[in-house]
Amino acid sequence: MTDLYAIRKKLLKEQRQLLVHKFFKNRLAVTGGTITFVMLFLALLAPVLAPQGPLDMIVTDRLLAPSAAHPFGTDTFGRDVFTRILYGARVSMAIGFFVGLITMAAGMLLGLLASYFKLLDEILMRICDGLNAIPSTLLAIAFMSALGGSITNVIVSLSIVSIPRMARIARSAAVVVKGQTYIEAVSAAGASPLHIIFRHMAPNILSPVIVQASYVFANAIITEAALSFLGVGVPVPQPSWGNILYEGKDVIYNAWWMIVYPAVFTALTVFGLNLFGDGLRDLLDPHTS
Amino acid sequence: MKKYIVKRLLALIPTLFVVSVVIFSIIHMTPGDPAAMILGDKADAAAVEALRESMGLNDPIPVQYINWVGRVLRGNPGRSVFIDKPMTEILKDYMGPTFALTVYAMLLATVLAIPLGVLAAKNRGTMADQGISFVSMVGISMPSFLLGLLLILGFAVKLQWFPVGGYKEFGSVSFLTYIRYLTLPALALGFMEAALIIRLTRASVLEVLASDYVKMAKAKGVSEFALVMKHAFKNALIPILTVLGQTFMALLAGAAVVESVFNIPGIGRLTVNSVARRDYEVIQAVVLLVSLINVVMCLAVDLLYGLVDPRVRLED
Repeated sequence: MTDLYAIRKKLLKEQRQLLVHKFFKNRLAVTGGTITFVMLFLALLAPVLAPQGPLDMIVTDRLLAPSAAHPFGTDTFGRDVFTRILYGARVSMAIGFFVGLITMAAGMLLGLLASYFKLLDEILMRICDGLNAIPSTLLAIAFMSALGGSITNVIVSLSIVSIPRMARIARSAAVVVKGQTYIEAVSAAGASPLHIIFRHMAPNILSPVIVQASYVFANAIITEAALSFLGVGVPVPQPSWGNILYEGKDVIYNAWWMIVYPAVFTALTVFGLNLFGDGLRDLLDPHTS
Repeated sequence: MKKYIVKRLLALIPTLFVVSVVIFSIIHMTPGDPAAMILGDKADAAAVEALRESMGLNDPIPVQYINWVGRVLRGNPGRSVFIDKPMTEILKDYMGPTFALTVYAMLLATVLAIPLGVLAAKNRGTMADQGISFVSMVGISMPSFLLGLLLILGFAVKLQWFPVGGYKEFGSVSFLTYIRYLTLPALALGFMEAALIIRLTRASVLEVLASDYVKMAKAKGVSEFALVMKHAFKNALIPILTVLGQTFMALLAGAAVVESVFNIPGIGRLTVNSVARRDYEVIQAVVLLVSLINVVMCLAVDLLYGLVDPRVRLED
């Protein structure tokens, strides 16, 4: 018995090493992962790296062009744009991360339950169809209009609009797993449905779910920026990439730096996450690419 | 085919039910009393009570839902607290610019993307293919409002080739001026969808090019051009057509954000402005309208698909 256990452990370890090796051989995944890692690093270290506070106003320094003192210039209130972009990365990353996590957990749970219980499947999938019929950006704007602007409400709204898709992906993966012989065997051995679902099915649908979560992460960052840019996301004066753009639009003739720098950071982060997601998909879920 | 149509129509009922419940609940998601939210802090209790009564907020929620659905079915989905016009007329006024922008963006996206996708597939692995793939990867990471702002900065502020924003009524100015106002917004809106269509066209042409009948045609001596255009492209078109329906919807919904960037008076900007005015019934009406267009569009694509491909309509 101990022998078998040791062999299993060794095999699992080898499998993990192979995955890691394959990951580093995948140029897309490594590039995307590096960009994502750098952004996370900047976000976490914002208080250390930023030359001043994100809300510090120096009224005499309004709309200064980029210089040594202010590498990305200053905004309408004399705040340092570089500082605000670093703190904005915290907001974007936190929103992307939590939306990804909540969507993953809820989508997996719904997908697994739907794959196992037929009546629940009908009901849940009809609800998903209905939610999918409403364009997600518009629905997010409508939710934000009712809930009011705040980081928590952005996370709630974006999670609600991304869960239906995740649930569908989790469900179709779970249906395939449920048809496998070993599930039949466990079931015949008398395991309870919940034990089967969480102990035996859940780990085997992780791959497509994680891949989708990386896209949800990227999408949440885009949509947060869009919502804040429209004035219905993270409320001013909190620093968020969308907010910097929102304020920059009014001074587009005088301050290109308030548009170009936050735009580059947003696009680069999303680019990195998309590459990372594509790399993950090639690695974990090769038959769908 | 008749059975297929009936099946598809019946499937709409639960979808529409969920859509209506979600949109109906928007107004009830406000923290506290919606009527008080609409009128703001300074309103007196009597005015709030009057608005509650006229909005029907004193009825039990299921009654409110049924009344609301009834009004929607009679073509009267609520009333704006800000614009003194029937809702259908408001929607009609604002739909024009949105529709023009969507169609123009769709045209730009398809006219540029499909040939580029075919080109990339034909020259697989070459510099051209990698270049096109890179552009489409950038496009997928570039949300429309970011691209819009950058386009304004480059082509309107610096080069001054296009106006920074605004919209001219069709017919009130020359066609050229009309198009000049819409070009940057349409480019901003269409780029991401173009990127997706490039990827899809490339993949789908590659798949067809690898099939046996194309190899056979090649062996028979069919010219390269005829091979790609006549044999490969035609068969690759079916999945592309489905995506075009989805593209149209993505553009229509995406127009909400782009309109705000370029100050175009469409339904998107109407929605965003209504958020600041707490004009919830307008927001509900717009979301409902776009969702209904989406549902009809999906139905049309499904039916078309069933018509073209018998396997679809004979399924289970």
